Amino acid sequence: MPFSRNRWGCQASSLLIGIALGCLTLASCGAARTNHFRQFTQAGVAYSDAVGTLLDETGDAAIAADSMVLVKTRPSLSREERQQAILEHNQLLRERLALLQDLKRHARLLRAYFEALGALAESDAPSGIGAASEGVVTEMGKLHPAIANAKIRDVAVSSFVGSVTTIVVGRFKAAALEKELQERAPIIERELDLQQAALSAVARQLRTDLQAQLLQQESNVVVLPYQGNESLPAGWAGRRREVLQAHASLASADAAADAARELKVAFVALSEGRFHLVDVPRLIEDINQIVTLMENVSGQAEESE
Amino acid sequence: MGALDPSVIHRQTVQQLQEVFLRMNSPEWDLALKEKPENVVRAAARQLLAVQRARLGLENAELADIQAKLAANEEALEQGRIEVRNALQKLAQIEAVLESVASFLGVVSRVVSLA
Repeated sequence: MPFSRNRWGCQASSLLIGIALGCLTLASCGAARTNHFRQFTQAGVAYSDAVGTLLDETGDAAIAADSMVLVKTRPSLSREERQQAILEHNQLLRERLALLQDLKRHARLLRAYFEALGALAESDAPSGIGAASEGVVTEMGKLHPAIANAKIRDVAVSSFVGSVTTIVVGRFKAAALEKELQERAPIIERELDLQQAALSAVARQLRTDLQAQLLQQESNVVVLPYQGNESLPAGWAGRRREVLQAHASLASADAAADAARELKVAFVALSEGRFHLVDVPRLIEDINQIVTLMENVSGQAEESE
Repeated sequence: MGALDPSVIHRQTVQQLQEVFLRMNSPEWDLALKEKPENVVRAAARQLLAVQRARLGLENAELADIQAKLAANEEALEQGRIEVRNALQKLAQIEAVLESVASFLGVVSRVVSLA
């Protein structure tokens, strides 16, 4: 019955087109979603790395500012007062350094989590599995020529089995990421809120320590020499310019807290199925500005000693 | 008027101490002290040390409080990392099984064709 065969042929071909379109849609949605995960985890890893460096710098700045205070007050203190001050301040700074180390260790843990999530999002296992399943069909074909020659309409099974497997496994990967997101979303959201709180506190401390050092440099190398009757030291104008310009860079101390806030916004978007671009290089550049600022402040402090 | 959250009071106190600390290290402060008698300069030095100690102590307490909350998240984070790694291993296992099946079939096909 030719008419009946034709009708069956049309239905089969519509079904195949439907399946193909469905597969393409699934593949493109899954790929876009996986890309969002990949982009977020890359930002998370970059953030965790930058936070580690920042916490080291914060410890250094705290010690430098405290030493500055001890040196400044030393001539006005008795021997007993000096002894008490140095021991108490050392103890407080040891506690500070231990806390910063704890925060750094936690940042490494957060990094390991983002890394694992990123490894899943970036895994090329689906394409490898597709290639491997093509190999299975090829080998099976050698065993039984009917498999190698099998066709759906005029398309050989062996020509599309690999790509369909890739899509199915790709969905499995996306499902694993979604499952993780659903299970861990409240924890990660809380984590990013706490990161923001921690970095706001760290940024305020860092800014205070750096600003105090800059103010003392301004006092010692700019204001007091100018106010006094002695002739101005060589290079006074240049150092004045450096100190005043360094003050303007202090705003970069808030970059780390901004980065944590940005990461939280991206995470909420990811949870809600929206895309939010996290500009990783800009985040890192902002955080690294603090490191540059620290180097400038330390350099000027050494020059003024 | 409701009571203020203790963490807000704590943060405001730390901020106040940080401002005082900066004021006591400013050029204006140093200029003002320059003409003062020795006992005033000594008192100012002791005050600066007291402010610095209070600031370090309260800042440490602030960090310790946040660190304790972060530590409470650590078990869940680690659990998440393990589950994600397991999901990745499952993917890798599928690939490995398919590859070994293909390789096995290759051997079988040679044996079958020889028979």
